[in-house]
Amino acid sequence: MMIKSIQLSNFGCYKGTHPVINFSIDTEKNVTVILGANKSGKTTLVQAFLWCLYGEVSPKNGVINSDVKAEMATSSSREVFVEIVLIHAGKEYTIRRTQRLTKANERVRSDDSVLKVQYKEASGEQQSILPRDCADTVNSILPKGLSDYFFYEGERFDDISKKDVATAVRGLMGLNAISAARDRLDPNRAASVTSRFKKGLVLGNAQESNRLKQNLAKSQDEREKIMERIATAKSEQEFYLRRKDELSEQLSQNAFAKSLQAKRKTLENDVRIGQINIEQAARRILTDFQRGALAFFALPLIDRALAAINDSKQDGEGIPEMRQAAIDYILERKRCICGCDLEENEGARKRILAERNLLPPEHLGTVLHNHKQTLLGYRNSSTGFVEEADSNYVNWRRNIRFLDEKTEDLKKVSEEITATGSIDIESIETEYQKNEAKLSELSRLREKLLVDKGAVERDIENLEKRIASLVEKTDSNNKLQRYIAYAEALFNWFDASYSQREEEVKADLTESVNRIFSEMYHGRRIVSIDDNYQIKLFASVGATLEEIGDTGGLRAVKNFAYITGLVDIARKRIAQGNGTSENSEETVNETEPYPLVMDAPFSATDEKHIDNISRIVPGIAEQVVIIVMKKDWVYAKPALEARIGKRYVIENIDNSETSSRVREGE
Amino acid sequence: MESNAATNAQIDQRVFRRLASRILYEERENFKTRKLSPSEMADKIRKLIEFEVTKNDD
Repeated sequence: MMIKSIQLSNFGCYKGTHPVINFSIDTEKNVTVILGANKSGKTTLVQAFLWCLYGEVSPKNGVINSDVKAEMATSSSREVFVEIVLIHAGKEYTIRRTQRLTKANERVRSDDSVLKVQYKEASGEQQSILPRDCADTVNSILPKGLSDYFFYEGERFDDISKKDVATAVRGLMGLNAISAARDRLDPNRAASVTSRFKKGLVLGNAQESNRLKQNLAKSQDEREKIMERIATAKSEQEFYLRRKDELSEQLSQNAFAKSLQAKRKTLENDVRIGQINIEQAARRILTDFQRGALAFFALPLIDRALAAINDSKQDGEGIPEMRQAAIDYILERKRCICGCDLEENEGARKRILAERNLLPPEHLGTVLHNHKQTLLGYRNSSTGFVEEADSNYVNWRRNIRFLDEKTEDLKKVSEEITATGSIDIESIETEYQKNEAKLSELSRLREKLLVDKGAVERDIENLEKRIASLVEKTDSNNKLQRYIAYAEALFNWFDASYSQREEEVKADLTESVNRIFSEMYHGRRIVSIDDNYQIKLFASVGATLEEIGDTGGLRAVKNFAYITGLVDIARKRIAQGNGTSENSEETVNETEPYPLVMDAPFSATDEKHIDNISRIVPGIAEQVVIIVMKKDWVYAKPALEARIGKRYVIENIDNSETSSRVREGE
Repeated sequence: MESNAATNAQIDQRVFRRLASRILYEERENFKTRKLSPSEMADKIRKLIEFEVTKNDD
């Protein structure tokens, strides 16, 4: 995305319709500098971008110029608009937000602002996005969650690590398209392409198949609802975890509460370990019980059965592969295979008859023998059952006691924190406890939902198996089954691809932010990006790395490193082929430029770091718009001078703070 | 693009790759322009699979 221009009309201190401000889109001279004094309208310019794209209004009294509003006659209307022209993925977009204001009964009423998005096709033909989709389109070009980074307000910007950026980063990196493709093909979703193919299969037993299909659709719907609830619970959990960090930091800042806070962290860890150990011990009890209980409780019966078999003296194992008919033949011919005359030798005849009783089809002896072996197997498996159950129970009780003790200690520490006397601390502690309760509740809810999801997925699997057994062998079904095979294979690929790509994005972002940070900052720090795309700073303490806090200048450099790192990887993102030609299956690299619009970026930074940042940023971002005060510009100018493509100055008209203009020049 | 499922005898690796690439392209385009509703997109992907698989069979 590159910003070509912006035009303002009656927005903030920009009274009337102003000439279009064009930004440099030159690849070498990619910097547009806009100089302005205090209160000249520098921040209003950045706010105009945010209002146009996302409808966000920072000045609480509205967006209209205060002179225009004051001069409105009764029953008259005025219009505020901001129009941005930008280029994204080879298309030129015109984005315009308009708001109409009407004066009646001495009051000015504002209509809701209206967003309009148009783009030019390659042929030059102008296309309009449907009104309901305009906001989503803007969000896909530049996710709202990242707007603070791309439209950076140095004096307003808070710590990056407190913002929820994961969804926005995924959107920016093109991961949303992969997840959309995956969901579109997900066989577990009733409306997916795969499910649609399956619905087309012609089945035998119409009544039964209809019932199965209805049950399948119901289970699929249920699964989707569970998935939505899991996603909601997850995002709520993330919110409360962030809040926990904030509250924990606030408590740590208080000298009285600091040591107690450290103690609490250790105890919380112990409680977590205790909970895990209890779960494991409970699972062990269940597993061992399931394995040995039947045999153990059946032991008296098993012993009686073994005694009965032994008494019968019939538990011999017959000659393998021999049948009674073969013995009958030997007895009838009255001569054994060893040559012995069976008419004369009664003893031999009796032994052959005893062997006969062990053979099929009567084979009573073999049955008894096999049964005896089974019973002995049961007997062996029950050995040690009581000792194991006893030891498992003792282990479980020990863990319960451990958890009880730690939970009690945790409660005491919490009371001590509350008792530190400060009202502030008390209220923070109360909120902390409520936050903890909410986190536990959400954790239990997620566990339950995961169990429900597993159950409904097993139902879906069983129903699909039963439906598959009813599929008739017809040409049309064969064809559909081929489509289903492709759809399922594609789903598996997109599913695996999404996880892999996300890992790559995280690794690339970490590498990029570290590299940029080390170029910008003179001290030694290591940057890490966690699963939620949050940035954390570490420093070497002895042989280990420890997370460290940041303030002022270091925080500003960290923010810049993150923003430029994000821009760096966003433009390098790998895309698949465009799918329009025979060569489309080849993977190609598609780069997307991103701009950085910065208002007062150096307000918390010293001269050395202003110089560093000014040298590095234009080399990474393809387009830089810097809105700056002259006093800071002195330090940035030497590094940026050669890259300036456009220069503007913001001036107050007739020294009025309610009317400004932007003119070219310096 | 490697896929375990694609090793299945029913799957032609070339068709599979073309389909994966085209589906991703269509999803990306729709993210930009929002021209099609979820149901229309599902219809488009369904037709794509039918077309590519049938073309290969023929």
